[in-house]
Amino acid sequence: MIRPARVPKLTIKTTLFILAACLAVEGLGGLFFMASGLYNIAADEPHFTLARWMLQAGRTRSIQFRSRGIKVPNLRDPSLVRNGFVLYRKNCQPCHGAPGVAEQQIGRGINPKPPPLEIASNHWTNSQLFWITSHGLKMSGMPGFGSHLSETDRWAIVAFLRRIVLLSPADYERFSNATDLGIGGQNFSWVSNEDYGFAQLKAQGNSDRGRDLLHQYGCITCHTIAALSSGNTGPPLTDYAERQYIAGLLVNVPANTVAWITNPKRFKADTAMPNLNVQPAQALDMAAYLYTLGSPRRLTVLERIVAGHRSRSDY
Amino acid sequence: MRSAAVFVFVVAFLSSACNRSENQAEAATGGNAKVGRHLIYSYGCGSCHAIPGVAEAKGTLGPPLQGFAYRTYIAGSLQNTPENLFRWITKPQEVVAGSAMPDLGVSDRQARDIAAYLYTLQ
Repeated sequence: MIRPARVPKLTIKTTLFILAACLAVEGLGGLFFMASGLYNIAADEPHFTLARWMLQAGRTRSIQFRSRGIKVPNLRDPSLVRNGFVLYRKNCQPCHGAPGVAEQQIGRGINPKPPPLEIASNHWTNSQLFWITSHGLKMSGMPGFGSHLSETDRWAIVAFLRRIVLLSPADYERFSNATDLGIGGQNFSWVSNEDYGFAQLKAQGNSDRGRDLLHQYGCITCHTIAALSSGNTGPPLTDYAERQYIAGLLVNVPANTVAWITNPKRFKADTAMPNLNVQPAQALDMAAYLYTLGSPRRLTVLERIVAGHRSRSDY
Repeated sequence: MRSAAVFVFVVAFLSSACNRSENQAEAATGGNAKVGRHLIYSYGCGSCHAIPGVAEAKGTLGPPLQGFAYRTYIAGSLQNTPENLFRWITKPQEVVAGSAMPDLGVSDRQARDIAAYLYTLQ
């Protein structure tokens, strides 16, 4: 075994001195750069990759740390979700947009871009969403609503953010019309009891069979499917599990994937996707394979929301 | 004199080869691909679509747009031609009512530039 040689004191001193000198030069350089005005603060130019990474990573850690210990109330309350929808349209939609609704000009000019919450809210727990809504985010355009909206109203927005992930553009329009007219009673699905096909996918979907079926039915001639094919006729299905919409019309959940594959013309009369008489059980297998493509996080969160875990557990 | 002419020709040939896809795309659309790329960034198309070469464009709401020049259909029902693409970009809700792709108020001029960039994606 080789023992490390004793380092003379002088070398340590010298090293420290060099380090201090480097830091001083860097600091001065940084100050000079700041004072020079060379840094482009314009919001219509994207961040440098490194700056963006630092901002995002720091933001994520801060939100995780600061939102600890927030107690989540029952969010499966139809009147709470309805109120959240009304508040969302007024306070969030101008910058974030909504299913089938563009953000307004003001939201478009913000850097970083306010993300579509149909997907972005899947990245956060209930308490984190509540914290972000309450406090806002520095170095982004996100304002804190803590001083304008009551605690109940801010939880209402969180409750709606758990609902928006399962809304199609048509659903959102229906909700908008209903609240404009003051409807929204018992038979309106502010809280959904649908299963969206998750249980059946888990119980019966076979991804190996599904992959073979995608070959047999020739799906791969029109679609690029990750490792299988490179078709250009339809959209690529790589990362399918992460995709929010099917054909721009249906929310991407197992039941809709099966419904679309078995009869696409039912949803879009002029679609180029033919009806291939795929049986529902076969479509379920195809779905099982397609959901192996891309990160499973979106689907996992949706499954938990559908399973009703959103009432108390804070995923 | 002759060697200078050859030099100019070689440089012109090389630079045109580098930008061939861009030139083709611009000829087909009458737009400017570089302007289009910036418009795609500022309209926030990347919030919903993954678009190669555009900063922060990693969205998963809509389909990825890589290889767009070779895509046969737009929105699953329109043939992928420049005219159809202009129409889809400027008035998606007119093409597919209730589509998740919203009307963003893109002008005809801007749609040409955006289309020019999309057709450079091979």
